[in-house]
Amino acid sequence: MNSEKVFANILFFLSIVSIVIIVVTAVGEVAAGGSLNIFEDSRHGVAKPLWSMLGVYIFATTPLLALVILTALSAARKNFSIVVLSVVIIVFMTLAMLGVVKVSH
Amino acid sequence: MDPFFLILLFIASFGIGIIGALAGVGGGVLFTPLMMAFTDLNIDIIRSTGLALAMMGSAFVIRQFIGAGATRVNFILFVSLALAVGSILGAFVGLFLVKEYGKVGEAYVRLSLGVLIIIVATIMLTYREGGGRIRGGEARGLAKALGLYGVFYDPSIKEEIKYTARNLLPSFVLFSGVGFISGMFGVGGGWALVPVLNIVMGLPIKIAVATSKTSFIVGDMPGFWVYVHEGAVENLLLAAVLPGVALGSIVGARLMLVTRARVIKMAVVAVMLIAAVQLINRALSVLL
Repeated sequence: MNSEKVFANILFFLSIVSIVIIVVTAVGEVAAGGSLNIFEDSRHGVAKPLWSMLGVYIFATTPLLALVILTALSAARKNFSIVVLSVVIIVFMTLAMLGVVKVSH
Repeated sequence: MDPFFLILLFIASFGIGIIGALAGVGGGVLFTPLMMAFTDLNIDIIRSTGLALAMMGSAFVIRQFIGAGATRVNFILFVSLALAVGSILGAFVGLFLVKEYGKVGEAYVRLSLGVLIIIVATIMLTYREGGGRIRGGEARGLAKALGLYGVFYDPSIKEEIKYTARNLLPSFVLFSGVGFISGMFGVGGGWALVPVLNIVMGLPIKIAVATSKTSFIVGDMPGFWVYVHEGAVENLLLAAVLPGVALGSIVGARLMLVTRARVIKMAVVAVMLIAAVQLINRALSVLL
């Protein structure tokens, strides 16, 4: 399997995993006493327990993981055009993930 | 009422997934304005869900499109890089507007999005596709160095098409602009990416649609993280929307190669115009 298909498969399967976790944790939130009323604006910005955000974190991290693997595979196969492009994107993604880009309050 | 609303969201997301894959849009351009127009949900949560929806739809078509040769990772990365730069700035500005200016800021965001959608819908209506047989000539220079060329067998016309990217710098700048709008409004930006890929970059329309659709999973990710850090992500909303768009995208990707994109575009334009009118109406009710 070439690196492009590996990249696509990682994105696809990890997205399935994250959907399942998001659905399970959403149900868990409701079961734990949370409201089904999604119109409650008050919940915006409120810190949530880590477990309830697990699916979101996996989903939001999936592209980075897929890119890192793509970069490694492409470097091993000396496909440097992909390496150059993905390394720059990985830097941007990492900065965003670490919260370097933040809104001042 | 709420469980019923969540089921409606699932069904709507399924439809958005199909249309998104057929037209090369993330789906946020339909989801975000509709939610902003017809619900009182927090605007940041709507935008973050719109981004997640675009990303998930992208993740579910990428295997099919790459497998069919309808796009290449090189193109996805090139577009995503520009989108990522723009989407970070856009998310920053979008959040800043709401935090600093409250309801008035929201109204301006709604008004801007409404006007923007009408402009884009007009472009889509008048935009004449370059056709599926555009060829950019032999790859050379930066396009060759970055691997921005390829070959695609189009089953609908039973013809092999060679394509090469051109006008890389202007395309990159335009993609960044799309990313800015994407991050600011929580929309994927495919409605603008497809024309740029097709007209400016010289890619065949099906390559443009496939590249646009698959770029969001990478390109929108940095912008989505801004919302995650702000706590502007709602699990329950995602649980209703993401499975729907995922299933819809799989169906839409299979239909993409055999359906006339023009028909789908007309449907998209109709929905966009309805949403735009609602947005402008709500914005003006606050501002006037």
